Amino acid sequence: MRRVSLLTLALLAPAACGLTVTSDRPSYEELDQQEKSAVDTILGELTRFNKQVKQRTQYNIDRIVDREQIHVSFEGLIFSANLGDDVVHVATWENLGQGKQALTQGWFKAKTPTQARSVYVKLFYQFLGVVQGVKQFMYQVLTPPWVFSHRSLYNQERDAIRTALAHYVVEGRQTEMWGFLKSACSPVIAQHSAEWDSKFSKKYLQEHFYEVFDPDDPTGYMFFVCRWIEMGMQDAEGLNAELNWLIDLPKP
Amino acid sequence: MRLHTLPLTFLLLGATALADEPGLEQHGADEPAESITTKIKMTSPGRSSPRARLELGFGYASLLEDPDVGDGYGGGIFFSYELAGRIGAELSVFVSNNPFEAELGSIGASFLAGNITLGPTVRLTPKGGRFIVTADLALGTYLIVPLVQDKIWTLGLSGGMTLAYRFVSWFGLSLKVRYHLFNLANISGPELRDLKALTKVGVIDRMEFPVCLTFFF
Repeated sequence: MRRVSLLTLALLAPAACGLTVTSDRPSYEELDQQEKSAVDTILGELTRFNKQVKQRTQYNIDRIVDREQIHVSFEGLIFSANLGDDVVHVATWENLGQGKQALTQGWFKAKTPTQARSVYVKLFYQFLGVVQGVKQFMYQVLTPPWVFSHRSLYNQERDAIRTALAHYVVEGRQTEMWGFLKSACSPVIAQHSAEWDSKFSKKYLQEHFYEVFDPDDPTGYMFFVCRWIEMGMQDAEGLNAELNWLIDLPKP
Repeated sequence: MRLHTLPLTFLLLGATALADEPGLEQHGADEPAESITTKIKMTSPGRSSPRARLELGFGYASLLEDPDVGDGYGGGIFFSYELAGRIGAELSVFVSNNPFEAELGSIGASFLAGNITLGPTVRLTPKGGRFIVTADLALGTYLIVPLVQDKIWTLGLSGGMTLAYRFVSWFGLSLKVRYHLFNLANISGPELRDLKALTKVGVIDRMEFPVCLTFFF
């Protein structure tokens, strides 16, 4: 009898605990004003990119052009990503915390936190927001499992950045955005070339993913982003060519 | 009762009966029975009551109560040894894999976790039987392999029961029921963030039901 009781207890214990490894994101209405403002900015950029995609292809990124699918409420991480689950993650400046705000201020050699904030907001909310939109286009065309298993992260990021640069050209915002990116990235590259230039390769990123992307200190990722931007400005073809190149990759 | 011990048991009963017969008192009533018992011990050393057990298991393993993580499977190795009486110790290594599903299903990745644990066991059944039931508790290190973070080692504990059946003296099958609580404290690596909301994850639980090939020593 005692054995039966022990077994029953063992079987019922987990049901009572209800522990999980995922949490629900807050809805847009639950966000604070700064988070809502970040979502609105990112949503505006994604809406414009989606329009370009629809005009040029049979695909769209409708799934993430939704304020509930833009996730900005996490704290203490410098993170911008689209993992293939129809959600765009972008860290807001306010949620970084003082330590990480100081880190980004150092990247951009900004004199004040206010200056650093304006660079961060434009880079992460606008440009990297569109980059996550391009990744969504990749996932729509190729499916996330195929992208993860057949394309290196280096190539995904490189192609997404190059396509985002082409998007700003057709939007008539090349001077504004390309000029901003050059000025934001020049101190990053100048300060971190000695450490990261020799590591800027597909192989290094594959073998040291967590070192480069470490959301507590993604200085390596920032350097990689700036180098991909440099490369993209040299290599970028028109938006049609960039989108069609992705469409023409072998289908899963 | 194991089948091959039955004849020996009859011999024992017979010897006891012989010792109690009238007229044999001068020989000492217990002598014949003692000598046969000694013989039994000498002819089957250790086989009727193995002290060590090695189990190779595979089966259902699932994180619980999470709509974004599906049922999974796992496998591992367990080694237990009876130290004194019913009390023993068990060392185990187990790895489980659970697919993300629902909102996270499209990413095609899995939640991978493993553990290395050590702890006490208690045998609940009499020594030497074909059915062996043990209860165990363990403490150990639990590995979590997240998608966007580096590997994380955390502290965890488990408790459960094992039902084993010996087909022959050295081999059998067992079913384990184990419940784990892990991510109790960080040992190395970053703090685990969940993949959906990127918030810090608290204690995680896992249930597993591996069926094991069991070797007795």
